[in-house]
Amino acid sequence: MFNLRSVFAFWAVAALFLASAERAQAQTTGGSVMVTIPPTGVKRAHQDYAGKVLPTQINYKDCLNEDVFTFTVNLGAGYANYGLSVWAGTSCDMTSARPPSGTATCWQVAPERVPTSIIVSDLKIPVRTMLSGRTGGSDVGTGGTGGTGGTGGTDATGGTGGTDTTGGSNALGGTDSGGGASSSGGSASSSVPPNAPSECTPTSATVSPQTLTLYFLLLDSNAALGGQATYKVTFKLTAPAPPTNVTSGTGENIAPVSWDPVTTADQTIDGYQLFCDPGPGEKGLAESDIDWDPGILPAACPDSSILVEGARPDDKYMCGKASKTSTQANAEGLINMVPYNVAVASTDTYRNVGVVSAPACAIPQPVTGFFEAYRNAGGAGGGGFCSFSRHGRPLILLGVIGLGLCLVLRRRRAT
Amino acid sequence: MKRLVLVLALGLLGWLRAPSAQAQGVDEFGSYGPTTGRGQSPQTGLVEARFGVYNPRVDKSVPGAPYRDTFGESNRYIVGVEADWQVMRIPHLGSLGPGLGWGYTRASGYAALTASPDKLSSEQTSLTIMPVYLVAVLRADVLPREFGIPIVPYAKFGLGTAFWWSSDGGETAYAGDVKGSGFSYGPQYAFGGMFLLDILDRQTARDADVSLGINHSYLFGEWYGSELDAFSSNKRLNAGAHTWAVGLAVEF
Repeated sequence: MFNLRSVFAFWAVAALFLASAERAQAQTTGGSVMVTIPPTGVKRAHQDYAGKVLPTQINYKDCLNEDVFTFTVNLGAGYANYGLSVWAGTSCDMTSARPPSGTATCWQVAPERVPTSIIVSDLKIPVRTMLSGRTGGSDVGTGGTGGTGGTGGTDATGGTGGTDTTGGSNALGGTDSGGGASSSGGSASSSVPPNAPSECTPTSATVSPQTLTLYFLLLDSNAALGGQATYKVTFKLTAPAPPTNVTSGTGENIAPVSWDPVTTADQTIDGYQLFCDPGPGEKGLAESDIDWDPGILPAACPDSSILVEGARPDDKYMCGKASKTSTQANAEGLINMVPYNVAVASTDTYRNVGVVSAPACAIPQPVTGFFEAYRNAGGAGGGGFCSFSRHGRPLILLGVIGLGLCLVLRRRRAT
Repeated sequence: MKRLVLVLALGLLGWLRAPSAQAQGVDEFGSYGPTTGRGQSPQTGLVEARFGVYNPRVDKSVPGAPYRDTFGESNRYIVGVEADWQVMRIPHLGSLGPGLGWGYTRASGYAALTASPDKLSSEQTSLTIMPVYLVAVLRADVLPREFGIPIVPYAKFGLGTAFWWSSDGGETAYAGDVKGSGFSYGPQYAFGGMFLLDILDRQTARDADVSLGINHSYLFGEWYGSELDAFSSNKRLNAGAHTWAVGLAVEF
């Protein structure tokens, strides 16, 4: 049965476990020299934050824009006997996991350097380099084909680049079909543009975020471990597939757009973005080659070279957004009598924006809503809650309120 | 069914009414605790939950029928609440006091194409109305109190106002540079009757009085009018209505 001692023991073990989990982000293990990454020791060059994304999260745009992590690493006494290098993969503290081992599962992401002080503050690791060693079906690579010391990183990158090409081709082929699948139900993850860098292409069909561990290793000339710290990042390079059956109606300076919801295994889906060609506003229209006459209602939309099903358009074409539970939204900032192609893409919690659906045609034009109809009929109401017409007989209203207050006060005094 | 109605009525007030500091309650022997001479806890007010049809008289304030043309002729509905303070008790008649009410209703439809008014666009246009009123309420509960008839006729008269706003495509509507929102005001009156539910289950009603302080619960129906046209001015959108409401009320 339970007794107090066993209860205390249980909670002590639980506390120890929780404390170790807390430190897992920047963990120091193995070796005799202390290596730590302080909580403030990680900076991002241009992460696509958008308010929600964590510093440890990497999305497609981070990769495309060649985002860079800059680490500050604190070293303990005795560091001078070692070189500091950074690896990505699995069990990189094991010699057998690093090149030139034939069973390597790691690739070097920062060339080895000899630390000259106890704090190394400018350790830059490009996102693309971090992701370069992945191969199909796994977030870890098979290792570079060689490379030691300062050139190891380049070799490793180059070596796995070939593998990525293979994985990338597979991914492209597979997910391009996914684009097709999207139109028949959208169960697959979104495809990647054909011109995507190989480091930024998914190497497996998984749609959930994947974890990548960075190993900051102090190694001596014999590759023996003197100390280490680890840092985990998560990456997600694809967004959910776009919705299907996208249709658009007519509004004034807007286009009401509706769609069938996406059914996907991707649990990170968090909304939709609407894209318009031409882009929203006068600027978007000016950048297009549409011949526009405000007095003539176009009969149809021209084919769009930007909103092609399966393509990932530039942000400047975004003209609306919706939450993940929505099946309709308005494309906004449109100009009446201009023919717009409108398409919808899904977004995820990593702020990935997926490829767009097949576009629908929208031609906004003037409409008469209730209030305009009321005013056209001669109604004089409106102007805001604080409006008080001089002709509205406010004295009657104020008089009645005042009389009521007097009666209440008189009643209270009487009691 | 009658228990369900009573439970709903009790729930409506349960959160409004803090337990009395005095020792009251219900045990295996029934209700206990202080009561008035009539065997009830003190009675100070009433709350209502209301529902009804609400077709605003917008088209009465302008030539033409912009409301009907936009939203059609089908009925729109309103939900609301009202709280009355029974300040004064008039012997052999009933209670008199102020009542404050609030409601919410919304009509929506599709805007017409300006170039072809007989065709509708896909853009939603809506009118939301939030009536608020302050009325004097006279409830003649002499019938159940002195004659055992479970009917309480009542009348209300006072001042109402309605905040309203219109939107097109999900955004606040504008006509030129005039914003599509505002308020209107005018007299408000109502006549109705309440059916005393206590007679359906007297013991439950007594227990509710002792444990929650609920004296009576009612089903009610009323006809009311709100002439929210700024006292016959055509400068305000008439958001009032001549209509009916039904609901549940509890007295405490």
